[in-house]
Amino acid sequence: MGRYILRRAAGLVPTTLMLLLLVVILIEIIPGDIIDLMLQEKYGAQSEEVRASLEAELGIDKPLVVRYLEYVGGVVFRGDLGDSLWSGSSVRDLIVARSIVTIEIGVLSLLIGIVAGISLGIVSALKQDTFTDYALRSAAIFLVSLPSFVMATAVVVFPAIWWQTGPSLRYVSFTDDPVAHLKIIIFPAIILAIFLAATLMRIMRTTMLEVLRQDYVRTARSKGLPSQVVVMRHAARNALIPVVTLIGLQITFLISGSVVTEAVFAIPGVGRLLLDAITTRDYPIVQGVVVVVGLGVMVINLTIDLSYAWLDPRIRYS
Amino acid sequence: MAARAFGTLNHQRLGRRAVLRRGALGLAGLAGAALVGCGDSEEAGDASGGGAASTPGSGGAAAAAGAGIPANIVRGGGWSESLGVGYVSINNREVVMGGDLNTSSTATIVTQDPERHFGGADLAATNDRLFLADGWSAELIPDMVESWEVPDPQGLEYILKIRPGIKTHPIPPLNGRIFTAHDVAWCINRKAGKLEGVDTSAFLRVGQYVGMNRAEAIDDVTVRIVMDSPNGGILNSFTHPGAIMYAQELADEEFKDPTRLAGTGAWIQTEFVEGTRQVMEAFPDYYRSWDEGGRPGFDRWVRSVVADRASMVAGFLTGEFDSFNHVAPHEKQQIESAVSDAWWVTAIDNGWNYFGMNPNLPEMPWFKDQRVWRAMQLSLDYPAMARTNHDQFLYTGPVPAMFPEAKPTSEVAQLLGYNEETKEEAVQEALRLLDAAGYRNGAGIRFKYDIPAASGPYFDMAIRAQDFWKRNIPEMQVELQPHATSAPFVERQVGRTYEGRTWQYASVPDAALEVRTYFHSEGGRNYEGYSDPAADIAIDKMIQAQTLEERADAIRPFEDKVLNEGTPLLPLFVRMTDWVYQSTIGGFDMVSGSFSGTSYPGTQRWFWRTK
Repeated sequence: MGRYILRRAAGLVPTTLMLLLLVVILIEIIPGDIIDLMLQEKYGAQSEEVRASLEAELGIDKPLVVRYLEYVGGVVFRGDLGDSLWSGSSVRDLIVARSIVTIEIGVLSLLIGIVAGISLGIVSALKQDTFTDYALRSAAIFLVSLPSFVMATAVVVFPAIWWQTGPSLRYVSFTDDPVAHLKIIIFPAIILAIFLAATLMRIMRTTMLEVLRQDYVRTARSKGLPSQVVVMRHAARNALIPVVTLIGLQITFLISGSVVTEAVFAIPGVGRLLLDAITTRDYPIVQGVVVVVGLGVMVINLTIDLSYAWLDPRIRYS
Repeated sequence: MAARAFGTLNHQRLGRRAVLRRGALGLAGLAGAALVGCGDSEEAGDASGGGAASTPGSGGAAAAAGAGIPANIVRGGGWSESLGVGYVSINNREVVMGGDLNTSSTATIVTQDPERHFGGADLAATNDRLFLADGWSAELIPDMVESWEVPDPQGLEYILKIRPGIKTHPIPPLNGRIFTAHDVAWCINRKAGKLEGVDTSAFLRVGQYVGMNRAEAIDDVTVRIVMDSPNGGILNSFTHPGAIMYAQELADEEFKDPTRLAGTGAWIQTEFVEGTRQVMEAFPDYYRSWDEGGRPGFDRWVRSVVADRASMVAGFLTGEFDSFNHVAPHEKQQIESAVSDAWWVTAIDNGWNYFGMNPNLPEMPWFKDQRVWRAMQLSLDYPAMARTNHDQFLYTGPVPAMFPEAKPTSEVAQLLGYNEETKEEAVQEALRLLDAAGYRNGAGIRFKYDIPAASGPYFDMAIRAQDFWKRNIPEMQVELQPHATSAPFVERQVGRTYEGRTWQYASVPDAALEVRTYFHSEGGRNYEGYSDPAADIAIDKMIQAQTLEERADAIRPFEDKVLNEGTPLLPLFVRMTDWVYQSTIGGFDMVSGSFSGTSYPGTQRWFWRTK
């Protein structure tokens, strides 16, 4: 097990280097240039000297390879993600400050989504081909097809137009007022959770139906075990493996969904930091967020892989 | 002595006002065509009054003011109940001092250096300017300056008397020290790029101080500005929101700590949470008294960051925010239906929209042809494009119509191409010109039309233009190229790789500097590479002129040439804009004009809570 973890962790290194390279190249090829944006309001001459001077000041005048190596060196040896080209602030500090609320929302939405998705999936499987089953499946299909940004905008805008009420858009941190903070983050968390829950419900229902038809479940029932024990201990646990895999994949959707939901609900999280940075072509922030999120996804996927053994003792790592 | 006598061209200002009034009344006629009002300005007035117990303003000091309203505030020149445009009601209810003003903004400031900061409205809250510009006439209103004179008739020297005893905020690094003429002189020199060893590459407004040699403090309250060559607009440059005065200590710290942005302004920044909010507290020792109209009526001003436009509207509808700026037509409908007693302010914006053609591309020879410029000018549907922004607008030439030097919008409205009643004739003339140029019915002309957004007013403008061309120049091929963000648009614009483009420009508060930027061969934003020696001479002459009449006379031939012959950069219209406030907000003096959009409301010092 230990060797497996080490091997998987070592595999993260080339993946991370590739990710860094990809990020640096992507930034290079997307249309739009920060110097143009900085000078768009400038009155007077915008000579090549002016541009060159600014590029040198911002450190973006060096060749791509040099910038890549410097960036990798900074990340690997100093944990330095660079500085914002606009404000000069440390990208690492910005990401740390913004990531707390994003993690809160992510964890909350995961909890809500997992609990709701798995529970409803089990219910739907147990009530197969009943009204409850049809209703849950229809609702799941509807919610999966509804983008999170549409739901987020609807939750903010429609109550405001119709009843002059809605979620607060003045962000309060947990340390300032925990209750007010929870009232603010609960809406984006639920909206992000809905997609996750609907997706999980569908896969949980399918796998549960498969598992419920297995011989060992029939054996468990014939032994006279209570139905609750059969379902929860013998069926549901085994049905969870594909569900857990799906949760790992869905985390990336949660992160991408947070970009829009944070913007709509005025949450100062990493998603909005990324969105603002892309708009203003603040390359170090874009790079930093992508690297941190990428590493996070890799670590989460590793954790999920390791959880298979706990869920199914037949799985062994070697 | 006033360096610029803006009031002397009253016929122009009256002409414009008359046009506006007629437009507001919905009268038919040629002058009415200058402004597309459809009689809705009176509706705007009603909406302004609404349930907010408002009474119309009438210019001069507030009459019959409610208890507590500043006694000596001066209303801006645009304040008149008879005007359809720029009409602002006054909430005359009793003032309730204190409390919080809550507003939304799209971001916390990212660049604290005022010379690199766009717009500057937020920094204008913590700092002051030497002058303000009347929101309607752009006339100078002294602010930090007490008086000024121009001893040299050629305009090569300016003497500014600064208010004595201006206190700075009691926070580091200034700690309440007095802001003197020495600070002002240093700051002017930094703005103009006259300090040794200061890289001005990214200084956005250094070009406004063209011709300046140096500024020097004669004593604690007197500043002398010495010019190498005349620049009649230099004092107006000081009215720009980005032209705030600040102390050297902040520059020494490289403006790195936003919580140490000590200034002299009405507000002290007490909290800065990056990407979340900025909190300001009223400065009790601010140099303007309450009755003078300047000290904030609120104790605190909380600017919360709301990145999404729809969420901003929602925040206003729920009462979470007290104001909402630059209201789009569809947003106006939502707000009017949900908040019937909201307080509306309509003003001429400081921006003008344009359509640009790139004559620098070898593969597009048609855009080098003056006949094509003229044909495009004749064939644009100005009202349709303008109404994507607001239901009212001003026709304009190369000097934006909100400037008193500009050719009156009523006159522009009569010209072929602009006059709606002769539009068919204009289209026929456009087709004749294209035919003569070898592009019968537009055949052979094709271009990609860059837009800085994939939705919203600019996109709608392009759609309407494309639709009009399809009907009237059927063989011309126009492909819309919307961009998700402005960055690729700006890159194509600055790199001069665009083919056709539409967006807007925000004006500086001086007509000569404005027209120079876009139409002078050395203009900083002359992305079309337009070069006309006669235009350069006219613009240079305008910059050097010292009176409004001289400036207007100098530039008029160039305006007429552009309006009758076309240029690759075609000004489309000057926009109107709406602000809306909750009914319990009062204040807002000296505004309702071109430069209010980024100046007075930005400082929020003119507001108070009412019963």
